[in-house]
Amino acid sequence: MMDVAGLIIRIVKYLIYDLTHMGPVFKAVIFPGLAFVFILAIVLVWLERKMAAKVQMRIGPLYAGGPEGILQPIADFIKFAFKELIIPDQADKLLFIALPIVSLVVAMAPIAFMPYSRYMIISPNPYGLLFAMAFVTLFPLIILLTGWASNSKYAFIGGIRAAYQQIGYELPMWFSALGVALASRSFDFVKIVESQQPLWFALTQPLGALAFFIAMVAEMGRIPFDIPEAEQEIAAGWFVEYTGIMFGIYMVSAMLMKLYVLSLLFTVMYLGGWLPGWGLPEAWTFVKAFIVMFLIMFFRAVFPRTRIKTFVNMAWDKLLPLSIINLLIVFALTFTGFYGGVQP
Amino acid sequence: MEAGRLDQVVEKEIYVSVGPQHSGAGHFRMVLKLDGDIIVDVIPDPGFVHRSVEKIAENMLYVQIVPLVEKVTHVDASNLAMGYVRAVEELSGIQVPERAKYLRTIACELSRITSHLYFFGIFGIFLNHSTMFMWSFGDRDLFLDLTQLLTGTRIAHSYILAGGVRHDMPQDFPDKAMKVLDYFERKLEDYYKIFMLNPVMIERTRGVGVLSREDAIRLGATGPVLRASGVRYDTRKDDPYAAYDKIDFEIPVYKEGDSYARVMVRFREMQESVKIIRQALRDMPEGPVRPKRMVPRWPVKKGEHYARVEAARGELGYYIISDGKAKPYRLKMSSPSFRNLLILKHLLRGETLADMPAIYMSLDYWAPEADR
Repeated sequence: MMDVAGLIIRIVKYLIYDLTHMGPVFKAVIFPGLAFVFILAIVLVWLERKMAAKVQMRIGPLYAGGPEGILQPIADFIKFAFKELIIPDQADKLLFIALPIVSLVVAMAPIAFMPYSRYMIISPNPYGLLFAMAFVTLFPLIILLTGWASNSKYAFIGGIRAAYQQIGYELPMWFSALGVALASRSFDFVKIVESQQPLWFALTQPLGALAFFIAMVAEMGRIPFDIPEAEQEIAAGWFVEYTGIMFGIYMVSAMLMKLYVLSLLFTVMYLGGWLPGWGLPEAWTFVKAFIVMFLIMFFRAVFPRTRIKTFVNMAWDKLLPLSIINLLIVFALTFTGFYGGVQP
Repeated sequence: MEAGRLDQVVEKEIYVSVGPQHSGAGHFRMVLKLDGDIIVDVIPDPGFVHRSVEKIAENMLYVQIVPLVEKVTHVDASNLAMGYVRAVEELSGIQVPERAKYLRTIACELSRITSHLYFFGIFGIFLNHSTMFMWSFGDRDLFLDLTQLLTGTRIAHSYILAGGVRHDMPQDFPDKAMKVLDYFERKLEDYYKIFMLNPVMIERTRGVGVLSREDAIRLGATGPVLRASGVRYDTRKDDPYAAYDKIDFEIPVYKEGDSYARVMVRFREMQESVKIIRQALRDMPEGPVRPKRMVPRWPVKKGEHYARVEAARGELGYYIISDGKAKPYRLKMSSPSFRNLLILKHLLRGETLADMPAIYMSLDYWAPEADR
């Protein structure tokens, strides 16, 4: 008994030490981990709706409580939580129930590898870029599986569309990321940021940054590329069969986490992360990522949805050549020592 | 399709039901037969909001039919009433005071603008452009307020009656109308910039659902759909009623025949409507707006008559058979939405599923009007 009590005391002491000294638990649970991400998610939902309302000459969320109705997302979440869960008779039950949770894990996993500053990183990893991109790439597969598991025509068409879309944007995305890895000669996010010391990669590799940005918006499934969920054609697409909290989880993972993760990825890869780095480096990263998120959310107020045909054509005709040209330019520039460091 | 798991389905084509409980159809159902992403066949299934207006009309006094036909297309109420009243007046030779004609023109054009704004909102949201939806619905409210000022109600006005209009406009109406029209003309430029010039919008509608001039005439298209296919035909010019023959306005015609042209026609029509209202307010003569005594029982003569007007969705015809009694023997409506339904089938075949909203909505199909 004494041992158990001693163990608990030691764990508590460790936790206190950890939390007060920004140890791994603090990073995973508070910042930049779970607590921070979920609070940010609430603010993002509210901000998106408020911003769209401003553009569209209306008020937006107001009555749910808090200043300017900032508690609206929480009210929505409570509503989702109390709604009835309906599992279609024809659905693949195990997959149908498991997929929302898997999607949340997959969507949030890249957060572990992405640095807010040199030390503010949950899991420092020399192959962080590969890991993060691998998880990002995994998500469309979940959409396809969801469409299949729902056993609904609309969901299935949505899933197929997501797969189609991925065929379009995946290669440009990876080729652009390869340009970054080549220029910084590393897959380590910290090194990637450090090697953007004089000039950001967005300035030295504008073509790659552009291709990555467009592919990234498509990966998020945001307007104008929200093709898999096309509400008007296929009735909300791949998650049409979901209700209640499972739908809520999908909204969080597919709409918010991907927005946050990919914006942060773009910031780290192309906008120099925490550089110039004086003051509070985490704040630099956050502000840059926030501006990217805001820009992407703003598309909602400006663009309609494109068609799958047009998007895939654009991805193969324009994005892929752009990213390959970018890669070749980077490859050539590495020989001149433009990106610093040892020449290959 | 028989129930079963998707992996057991061996059919090459699948049937996808759109509407009526679908976010993309309204009170209308169509079954799309899809081969991959291509629409092979369309089975329209109208009739969900059939209210047997024509039969009910046989049991109503002539004056009671005005609100009845207005409710068929409540966004376009005055035009619907105008057509009916025109048929009754021409059948019985009822004279209309000059001032009432101008007021009717104003009411009809206000109706047209509110209806087209409704179209822009719905078309915008069907392409997932929520800003267009909110803007046009917000601005539509200004015109509904104007309509309320003029007629007394926001929708279903029953303003146009045989022999004139129900009452004269209030004294402050011209000033308020001019203010709204000035604002709206500026606002239309914003619409143009954010929606008509939007690259994504152009990409989705240009060359989509092309209706050739020959097909448009052969299939009996009408209204903006017909004019977008290069046919200069508008009842307001070709068979003028109210004060349209004294007003100078243009009929926008586009040759392309695609969804973009259909949207453009409606956009330009709103601009023309603004011009028409301005002129009508300027040129309006003084005088009475209706006979001194308006009786509930209209003096309708025995006979048959067909009259037509240009409603927001196209040419709207009424055929009245009267046996001289208090109620019509038969009232037949020929509604533009139903005529354009034939074209839907023609246009959707061979297009992709993603083009369906852009084509379907560009026809401005109004299900209650087609079902009646």
